[in-house]
Amino acid sequence: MENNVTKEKKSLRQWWACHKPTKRRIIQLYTALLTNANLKGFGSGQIYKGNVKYGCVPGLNCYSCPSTVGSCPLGALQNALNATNTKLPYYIFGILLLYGFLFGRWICGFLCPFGLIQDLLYKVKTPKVKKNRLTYTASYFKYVLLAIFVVFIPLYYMGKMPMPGFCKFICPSGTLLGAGGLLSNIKNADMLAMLGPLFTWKFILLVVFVVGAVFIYRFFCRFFCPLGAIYGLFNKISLLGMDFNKSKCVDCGLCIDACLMDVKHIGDHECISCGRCVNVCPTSAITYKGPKILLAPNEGGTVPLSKRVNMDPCDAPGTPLPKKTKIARFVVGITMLAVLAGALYYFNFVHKDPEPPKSQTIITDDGQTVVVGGEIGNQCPDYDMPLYFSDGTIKASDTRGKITVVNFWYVYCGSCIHELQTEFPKLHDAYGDDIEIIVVHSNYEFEIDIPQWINDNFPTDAGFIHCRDVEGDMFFKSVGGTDAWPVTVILDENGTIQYRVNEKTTFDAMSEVIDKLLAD
Amino acid sequence: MKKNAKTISLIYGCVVAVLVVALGITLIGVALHIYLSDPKGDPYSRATIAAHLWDIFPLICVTAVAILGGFFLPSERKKPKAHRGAHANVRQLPAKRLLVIRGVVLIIAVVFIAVGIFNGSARDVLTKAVKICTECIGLG
Repeated sequence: MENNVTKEKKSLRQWWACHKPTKRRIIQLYTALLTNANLKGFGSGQIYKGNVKYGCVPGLNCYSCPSTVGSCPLGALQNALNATNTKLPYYIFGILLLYGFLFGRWICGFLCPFGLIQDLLYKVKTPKVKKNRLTYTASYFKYVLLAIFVVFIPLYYMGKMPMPGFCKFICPSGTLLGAGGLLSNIKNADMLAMLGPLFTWKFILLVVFVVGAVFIYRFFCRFFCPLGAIYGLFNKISLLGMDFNKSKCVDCGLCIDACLMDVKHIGDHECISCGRCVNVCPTSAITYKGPKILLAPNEGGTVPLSKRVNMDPCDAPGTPLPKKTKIARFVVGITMLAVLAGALYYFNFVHKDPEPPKSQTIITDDGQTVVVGGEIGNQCPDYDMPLYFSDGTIKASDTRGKITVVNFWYVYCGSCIHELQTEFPKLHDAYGDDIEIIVVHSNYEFEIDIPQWINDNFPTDAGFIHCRDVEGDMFFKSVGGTDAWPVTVILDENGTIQYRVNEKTTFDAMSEVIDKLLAD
Repeated sequence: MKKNAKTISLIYGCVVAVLVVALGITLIGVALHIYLSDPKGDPYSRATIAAHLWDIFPLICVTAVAILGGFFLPSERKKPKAHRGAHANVRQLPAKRLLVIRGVVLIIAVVFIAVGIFNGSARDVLTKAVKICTECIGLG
């Protein structure tokens, strides 16, 4: 009986020894939580809008995910290239160079949340596809995607229309963390109406990447990730990564066999510094670059080669660490925990985005009770917005007595620009002076000359009244806008909201409402 | 005994693989079905998604249970196949040259970031990131 209990305890201990999270996994989880510290975003269904987003997170982490507190470097790069006609994208180039210099593809192995997801998916017990000649060749495909979707497409549409090619057509992080995060909240039920062929395509791709990651190690990273392709170029010079001492190397090739990526030699552009090679190296020729505070070199180094080659990394016993390193590890660990706790506290309890105006019930001069708000049937809130092409402002009272179409857009929104170029001019052609079309640009400070941009890209004879929203985009928010553009509302002669749509709209949808209002 | 455990592990793995692939194909099929059933209207309504999710719920549960069960199977240890000669022709950067390259890259990175802050490209990064990019997440 006692024997059985001891045996059970021993097997549990063995199971834990082989399944406990490695240091790499702990760092991955830590970084994923730190860069997604705005957990309250999942509850509110809104993204974080503070100044921390000036900075980019190192890994592939969609900035439209409700919990993300930084910008995605790949998304920022595409948008910057897309706007190269207005200014050169120094900032994002600098950020990528800095991350490359500091980490290289160590980021893929340790700091990327999408990499973590794939690592966990690969743990599902199924037969696996091993690396082979085909995967070696396919690993260069990500450079093709980098050239076409990240560089060529944004540059081709430069100054014409925002077109982040990779984000729009491929990125699974955007579909999973961005769309998934937002749509999982019932408060964003309106967004379901926006889903169409693009979503179907991206969802299919996401399923392919997820299922692929179960069978093929880092399926997306190895063959499709342009960010990994960029960081891979820095692997040889980065401060962190794998170090390989050629004088100690006996060229047994065990490291290459243990590696699950398509590396040709340790530390090349495919190496994500996962450290599998460290445990199997018989001569301790492979170590981690940089300070050894978190990851000591070759912790399985005292095990004889005959045992080590057949050993799981989790079985490798650690070599005793010097006292100084132990103290340093403790201090770093405590500091990291404090930073994480501080970030979680700040983003979830201290930082508050401006509250959107709430609907109000008022009594008019003639004694009627009216609800002023952003819902259909509500009285549209008053506005007073500066005009772009003349002095003065436009007020709610200026358009009373006429059907008014109000469209909210901003210069980096591809859907907004597309509908203003194709759908809205038809309104003016069909209804002429019977309606007013107010086109409201976001109040956010853009480095682009908006009036010039409007003249260059929108038809001048479409009857648009161009104006800029009030501080904090408060008019946009008062009619129910959240974080997603475009929004279109149609007001009747009395200023009552008769139509509101939080997505790209069409001439047919708007004319149906306008015809009905004109008939009444 | 050892051989038996290996066979069980392999069969179990194959079953999980079939379930995962079946779930993937089903999810893709559901997405296509939802979209193609009403491509001009609002194909993805909450009711439609819920109905389809309910239909595939048993498959999701079975797959999840099978995946979790797999973690309790003993792990296999494969015999390594050495890739001899992989490092024979590897040329490493001399330390001095590496230091120079690192220095140059760091200086360029810092200068670019500083210039970017002044020319407004940092502001553009923020501007894009604080608004939901509906295209980026496949919404429109």
